[in-house]
Amino acid sequence: MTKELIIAIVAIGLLIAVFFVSYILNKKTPIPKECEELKIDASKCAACQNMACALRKKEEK
Amino acid sequence: MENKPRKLYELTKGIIKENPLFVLLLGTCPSLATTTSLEGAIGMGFLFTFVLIGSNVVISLLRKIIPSQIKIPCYIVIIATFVTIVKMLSEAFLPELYSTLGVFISLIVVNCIVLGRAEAFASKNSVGASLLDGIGMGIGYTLALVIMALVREILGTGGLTFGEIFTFLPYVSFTPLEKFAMSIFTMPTGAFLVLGVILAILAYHANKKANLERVKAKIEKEKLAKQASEIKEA
Amino acid sequence: MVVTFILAIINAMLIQNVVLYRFYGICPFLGVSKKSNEALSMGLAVIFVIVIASAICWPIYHYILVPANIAFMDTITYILVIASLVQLIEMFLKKYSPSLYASLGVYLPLITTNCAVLGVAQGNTDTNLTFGMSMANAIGTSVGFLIIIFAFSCIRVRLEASNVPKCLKGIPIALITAALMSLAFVGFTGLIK
Repeated sequence: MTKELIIAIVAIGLLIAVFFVSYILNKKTPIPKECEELKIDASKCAACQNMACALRKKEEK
Repeated sequence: MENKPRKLYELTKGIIKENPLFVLLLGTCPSLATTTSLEGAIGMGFLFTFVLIGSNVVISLLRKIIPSQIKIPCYIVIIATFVTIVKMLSEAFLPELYSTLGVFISLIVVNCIVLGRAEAFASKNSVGASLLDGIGMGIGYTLALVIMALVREILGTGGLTFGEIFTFLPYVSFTPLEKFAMSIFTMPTGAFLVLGVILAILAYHANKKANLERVKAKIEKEKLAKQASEIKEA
Repeated sequence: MVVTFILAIINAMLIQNVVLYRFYGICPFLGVSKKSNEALSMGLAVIFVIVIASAICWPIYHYILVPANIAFMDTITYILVIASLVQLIEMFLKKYSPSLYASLGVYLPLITTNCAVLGVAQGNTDTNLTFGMSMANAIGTSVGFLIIIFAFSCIRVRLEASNVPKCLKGIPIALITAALMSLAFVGFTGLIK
């Protein structure tokens, strides 16, 4: 358990924490009055393979 | 038994009906880059299937424990772990494959198929169904890669060469058409060309089938309309 | 020194063009290139993400992972960095620049699964480049992506209006066009000795 290994494990743990926190915070911040954009997105969403997109979920409903 | 056809469907749908490369058009980046040789394509398909099966099974096992707020980050971490395992195993046991495929082994982690199947299927179905889905999609993707690689290698080098990447096979270079080889097919241009032509052929068949069904539906409708008008007159 | 930097940028941009030679970023290349302003937005967003992500990933690899002998964790680390970066950028745009979010915001989640970002970050460390060369690779790759996707979208707009046979409509003719573009770019091969 050298010092560098401990620093590296802490750094990766920090990265994972930053990722999860930023993801949750991003989900919580509302889209700024641009919900009208959903209608234009019907053609764009066909190309996007990102199944996690929040706009896609709304469009499916 | 009602369960058996359902399970068989999960396995076979990935091969033809919902082939990830030719029908869903996912995972095009590695398909263009690794199909210069048949062995590379088989190797890539094999590694990809490994990652897909592993991630599908693990995500399906954990689907009730992972909170739905942080689904996607968890899936990404699990998939990245499997890709790292595959990378290290291939660097140890198949070093020529590792040096040929290079970065594209690491790029399996952002391959749309793996994340897509995890989110669309493995997070909602049982372990058995996810396993079959993973095997089916993996076989389908490998098949698509093999078809592309066959066309590119035979037209590009005049034949097939075995034993260069999978060094446990004897080195056999069977190139009867070497005089007629068009090296454009092993260049990036050939990759785009081959994929475009294959998709065009599939679209042609799909259009023919759709046209046939449309004509049949129209005939049915006219028949019904005629029957209805005859009843009215009578 | 500056000359090597500029030559490296040109190499990454034209000679080993990211889409037509290295095959990164094909999904957005085919998907987001139907309209020119969409393509422009996508290209700009990609430039932003690739440059910042490479700038963060290189030091993490060389100063944290390698000294600790866990260089094999690079793939996991890079994807974490890229994904968090995209989330942070999206949050930043939502709060402070709604107009930028209106044009670029939709494409940001798509960039997480873009092969180009991870490909550049991984390629920089796999081939042991210095920081300067890594940044040249990143800038050249992303600007090359912008050029290519914009040019491709202009061609595709005209393809939509022309009389394409039914089985070739959409993706097949786009791929054949990309093949011709790739062939044209082979002409840049002798540019740098």
